[in-house]
Amino acid sequence: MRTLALICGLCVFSQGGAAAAAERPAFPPERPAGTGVIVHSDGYVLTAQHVVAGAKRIVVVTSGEFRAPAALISTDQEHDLALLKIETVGLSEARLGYAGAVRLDQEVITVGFQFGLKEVSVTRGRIVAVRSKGVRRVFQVDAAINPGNSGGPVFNGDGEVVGILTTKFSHPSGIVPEGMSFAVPISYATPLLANIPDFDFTTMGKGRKIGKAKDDAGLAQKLVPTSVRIDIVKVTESPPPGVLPGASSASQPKSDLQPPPVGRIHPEASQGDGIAPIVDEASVEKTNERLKAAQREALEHLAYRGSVVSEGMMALIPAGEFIMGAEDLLPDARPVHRVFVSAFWLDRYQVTNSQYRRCVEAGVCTPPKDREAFEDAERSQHPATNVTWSQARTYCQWKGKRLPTEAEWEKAARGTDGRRYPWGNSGDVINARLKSGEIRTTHNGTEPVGSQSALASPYGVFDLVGNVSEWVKDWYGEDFYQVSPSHDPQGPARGSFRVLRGGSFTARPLEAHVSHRGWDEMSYWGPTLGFRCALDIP
Amino acid sequence: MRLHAVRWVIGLLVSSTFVYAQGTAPQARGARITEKGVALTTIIELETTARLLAILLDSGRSVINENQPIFDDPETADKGFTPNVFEKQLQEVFRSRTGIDLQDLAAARVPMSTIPLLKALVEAGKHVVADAQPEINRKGIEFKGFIPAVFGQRVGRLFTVRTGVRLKQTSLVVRNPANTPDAEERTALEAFADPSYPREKAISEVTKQSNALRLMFPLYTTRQCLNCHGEPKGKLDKTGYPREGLKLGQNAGAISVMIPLPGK
Repeated sequence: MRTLALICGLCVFSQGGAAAAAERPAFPPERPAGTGVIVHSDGYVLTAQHVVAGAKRIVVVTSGEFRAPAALISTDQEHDLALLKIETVGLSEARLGYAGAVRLDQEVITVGFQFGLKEVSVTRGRIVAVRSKGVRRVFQVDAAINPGNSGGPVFNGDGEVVGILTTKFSHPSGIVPEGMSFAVPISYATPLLANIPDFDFTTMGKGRKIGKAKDDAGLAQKLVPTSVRIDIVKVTESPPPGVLPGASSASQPKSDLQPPPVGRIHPEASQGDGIAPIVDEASVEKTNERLKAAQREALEHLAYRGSVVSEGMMALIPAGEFIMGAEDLLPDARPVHRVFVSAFWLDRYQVTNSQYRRCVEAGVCTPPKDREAFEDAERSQHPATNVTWSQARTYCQWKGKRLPTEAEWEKAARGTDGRRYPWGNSGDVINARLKSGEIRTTHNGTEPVGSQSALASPYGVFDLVGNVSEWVKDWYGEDFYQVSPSHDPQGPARGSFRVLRGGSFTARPLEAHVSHRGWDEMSYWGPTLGFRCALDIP
Repeated sequence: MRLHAVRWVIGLLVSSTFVYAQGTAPQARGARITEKGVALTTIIELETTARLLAILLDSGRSVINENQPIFDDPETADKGFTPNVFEKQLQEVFRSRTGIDLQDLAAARVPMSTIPLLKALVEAGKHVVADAQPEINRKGIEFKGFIPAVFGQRVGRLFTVRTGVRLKQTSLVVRNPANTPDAEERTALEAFADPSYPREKAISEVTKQSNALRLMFPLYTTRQCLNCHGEPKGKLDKTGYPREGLKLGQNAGAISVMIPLPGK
């Protein structure tokens, strides 16, 4: 069983080595892991557990190459099943069938992304055997299945999902015969599906007619959009650059997660400090040097692997732990906790009106809800405003990027030493700009992005405080920090509001703190709301 | 309200891309899918049947095993091990292993199709015990040779003739060449031999090619087994075969069941 999984793993991930990447820079940046099927239009995706096992980050690519980070909702290792959740609207869900009605020798259709190719493949086959071993029962399918198909759906003739492809069930001999693949009956997914609010189990296998698909080709086409590609970044695959061969030493992760006066920034110790600076200016300088060095080193490492993108417009935020939250702000920023964030790229600047215009002209984005600033030629280099969360996300997807998570945003803004502002702990900068209780810059409103170099973060990201507030990917959860995972948190699985980060030009001093958490309805828009995009490290 | 409007617009955008994606998808070929063959529910019933038959046969073997000291008595002629005594003890062992009362199968949670087969197997066992009475009751010698393996083989043969369902005892190391495992049985036996394999969990398969359900149910050694199959390895036991050196509770072969699929 294990051998087979390993073989599959090797097929999929053997290109992962740094050397291989350097030799073959044309290799697609993402690591194809498998296929999944949308089981609920709210963004629930069913796949095989082994597809996402050990994943640091899971990305679901829906029809039309829309990429969405996925949260792992539930897994069943015994039956090799996993349920993921993505925040994407307009999804086509697959209908689920009754596995008990599956017949030996019945014809089935499988849909999957073989070898992680972008083209979906639809294959046909028959259920040639039903096998049980221990507690697992599987269908054996003779369709042409390859690595990358794992986790994908097996449909019956009515277009209902009756199984999920697994490779973990091996023939007892341990030999993997050709044309032999296995699917877990969909009935084993029932406990996982129970995690979906209001999931209607009564419709399973009811044979609701699938549109007007008269012929088979029509049916297959109906099934394709319900299948998604799943890419993952493995925990073991890209450790912090410092520990990989080619980098000089293991100094990067250390420097990146070693805040200078450890005792003082410790959550317990920092209480009672009130508004006094947590770290002094000298150590801020030192930390800045360290963060920049870590960033340089990570960049060199990426360059070595041949996967550096658009360094001018995006800043690389190296992998490592940082201190998230603050004790002296609103209760939703408590407790202060350590979070590991994997390396990622973040736009140096907020998305500007002129950039957003290109997306509108491409017919992908819709114009901002209020077009005054958008249509003002003088403000083309100002951040795009009056956009909803969904518009922001659509733009990022169009660019092949995504919205950053809350944790990623805060890491980029404050580095590793738990500082209050991107530039350190000095409130002078803020006080100097305080006019009638609000932070005003040169304009009475937005200003061209990147104008305030003094306010940049040590990683070289601009306007994290000032200009406009930014939509981030996460749902807002008031008490999320109390239950947040310590590794690449993706926010709560559901919510009513989306998080907004970074004080805008109208921010009050409290809101200018990098740990301040704003939020609003995802359909809200306004002159102080903009966004920037992030990108995964391949 | 506005939220819904946005959802709708995005949905439209997304779905328009779907159309594009569909256009690039390979065209499916082949005839309209037809429904035939045996449904999974039926297969699961057959699996249950096969597993219960294996446990019942092994329960019979246990009864024979437990009575070996009585059989071995060279003095007494009538051992009193009648088919009815056998049936009583068999019911007891089977109930303790499965919770199923053979006397009240209608109330037990077993598939309807299983009941006649279980009854037929009990009858086959009684038949074999009845036929073995002269052997068991023979005076003057200790070892009569009516051991679990012999019992199992005779019952299996009789049961196959009566029902068409094949029952076979097999092991990686067999004493009786007739019990030599075939390829499928061997792979299952190798899986059972792995100490990490869960106890008493069967391995089964239904393939289109074989058109039958095959199930392998693992067996484990008891103290009685070790009299002949235990240590010291290689030393001849009372039947004249060298001992296998098995340890208590170790996997020692399996019962192989083959049920032809209904229809066809």
